[in-house]
Amino acid sequence: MAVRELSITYRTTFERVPTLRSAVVRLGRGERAVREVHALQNLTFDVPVGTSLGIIGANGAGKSTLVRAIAGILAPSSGRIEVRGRISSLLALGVGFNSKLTGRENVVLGGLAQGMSRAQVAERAKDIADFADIGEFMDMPLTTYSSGMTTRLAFAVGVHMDPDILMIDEALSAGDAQFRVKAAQKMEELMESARAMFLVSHSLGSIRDMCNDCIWIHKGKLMIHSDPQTCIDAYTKFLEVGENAFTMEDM
Amino acid sequence: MTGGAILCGATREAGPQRASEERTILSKTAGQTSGVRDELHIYEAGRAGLPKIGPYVRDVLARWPFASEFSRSSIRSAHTDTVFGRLWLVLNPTLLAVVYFILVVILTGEEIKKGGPTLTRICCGLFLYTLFQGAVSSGAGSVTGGGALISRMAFPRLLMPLAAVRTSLFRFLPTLPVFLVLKLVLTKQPWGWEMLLSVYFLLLMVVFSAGLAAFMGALQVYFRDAGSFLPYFLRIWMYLSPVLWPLSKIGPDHSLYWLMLCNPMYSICGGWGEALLSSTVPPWHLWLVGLGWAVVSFVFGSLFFMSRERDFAVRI
Repeated sequence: MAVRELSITYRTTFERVPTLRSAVVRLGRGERAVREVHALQNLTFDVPVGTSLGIIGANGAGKSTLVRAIAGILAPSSGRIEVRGRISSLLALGVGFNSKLTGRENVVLGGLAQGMSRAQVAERAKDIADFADIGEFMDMPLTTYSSGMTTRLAFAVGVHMDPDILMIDEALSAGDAQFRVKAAQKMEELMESARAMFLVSHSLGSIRDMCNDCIWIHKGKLMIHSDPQTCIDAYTKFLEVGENAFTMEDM
Repeated sequence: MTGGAILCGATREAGPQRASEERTILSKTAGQTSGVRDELHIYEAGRAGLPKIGPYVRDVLARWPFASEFSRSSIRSAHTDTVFGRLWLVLNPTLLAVVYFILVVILTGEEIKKGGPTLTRICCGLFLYTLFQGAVSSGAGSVTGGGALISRMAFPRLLMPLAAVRTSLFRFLPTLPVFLVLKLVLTKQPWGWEMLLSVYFLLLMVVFSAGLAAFMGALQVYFRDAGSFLPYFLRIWMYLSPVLWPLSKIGPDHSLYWLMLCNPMYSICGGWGEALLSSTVPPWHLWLVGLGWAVVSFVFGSLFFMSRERDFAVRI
């Protein structure tokens, strides 16, 4: 059993920049600057063990919100999420990195940020370095890296966390063609060992290839929960774009 | 879960089917998951409200290596592009002490040549206050400046201000030898065992700072302006505390003594100075009052922080 979620309605009170001044001014006018964003409304679905769930939807549909809520970052405003297992989210690539430190030091930092122990990080340090394959740059500060190298390192740290539940949010277009192949292989390997996987993507092709279950979210509402093909068909029909070359582009 | 397409909003109607499926899943996994890491996370509604303290503390302890590495890396990277490098950890507070020394000497009309003990006293108080100041101001910005760490990762947020306090503590430690040498050279007083008692007051200071850092960190999420007020607030607080002036300056018969009674720094900085600078055993009331302030600050600050932290991710 991986994830069982009864319902989340997630609202946020939102001010552009909350300051004392705006608060006082608002108080003077007797207003309350509360804007509710119904990011997700009454979603209910289950994710049994062994599922790899694709999440599709337009920009701003609430896909990332959903994934972040499952990862425990955002608190649901109503409803309940139950997650059994250790979550690793590839939505947090390179989080916690310090650009003035070397790649090696950042591997430790990134690994600890993902919730590993020092021993676990030390164990994997070599694998991570091999996987990132950035040679001598491993011992240079991150500021000297090209953006591709930083992504490679971040991705390498992210995929070596042995998660029970894997969450991937878009943007896995890390590095050059060769690295992409390697990344795709590693992803497949991870999916086999993970108890469940969430894949958020606009690339419908990869959803169809990698997932065995799918949900389509639109404006915070669950439209369809079904097998990937049915979802994709409905979604593309809805968008009226058809499966053209653009949406089929891989990852 | 593949019972064909369940269309818009029809999810709830599928109730009975679902329930039966759930049960089968549960019983299946019972066998599968035994022996595997089986952490159950339940996220429920409610933005405010305290999390359960026990698991929260366990979580904080479990994730502490990250906080300490985070803090260590920030110290390591802070001065990488300067000539003097980490020497600045000592240079900075020492230069600041010299600045205040000049100010004090001019205001009191003291002779600079005989100012050795004054400089030592200022170093003693100022170094500790710098720890406090650094902890509170970086703790205040730790959540709002946390960026992707807060919005993309799940961990007990209290680690952010605590890491800030740790950073300040480790920036403070290298200044201690400077003071000890100054004391030996400038005041001609030998070191005494009483100086060890200052560790207690250092501990109080760390705990007190942690509470205030957590409080300010949470407060700044709601009022960003708090961060701009803070430096002035902390500066005034320093002048009101026995940092630049000795504890004996304001005794029970002084007209400002009432103010000192509500100033936590009076007992913490005062006790620190008594033990470390004067090599005397600080009066017992400083021990007790300081402890009281530290505990109150830490409990109140961290509870306030914890009760609000679920709201942080959407607000930064």
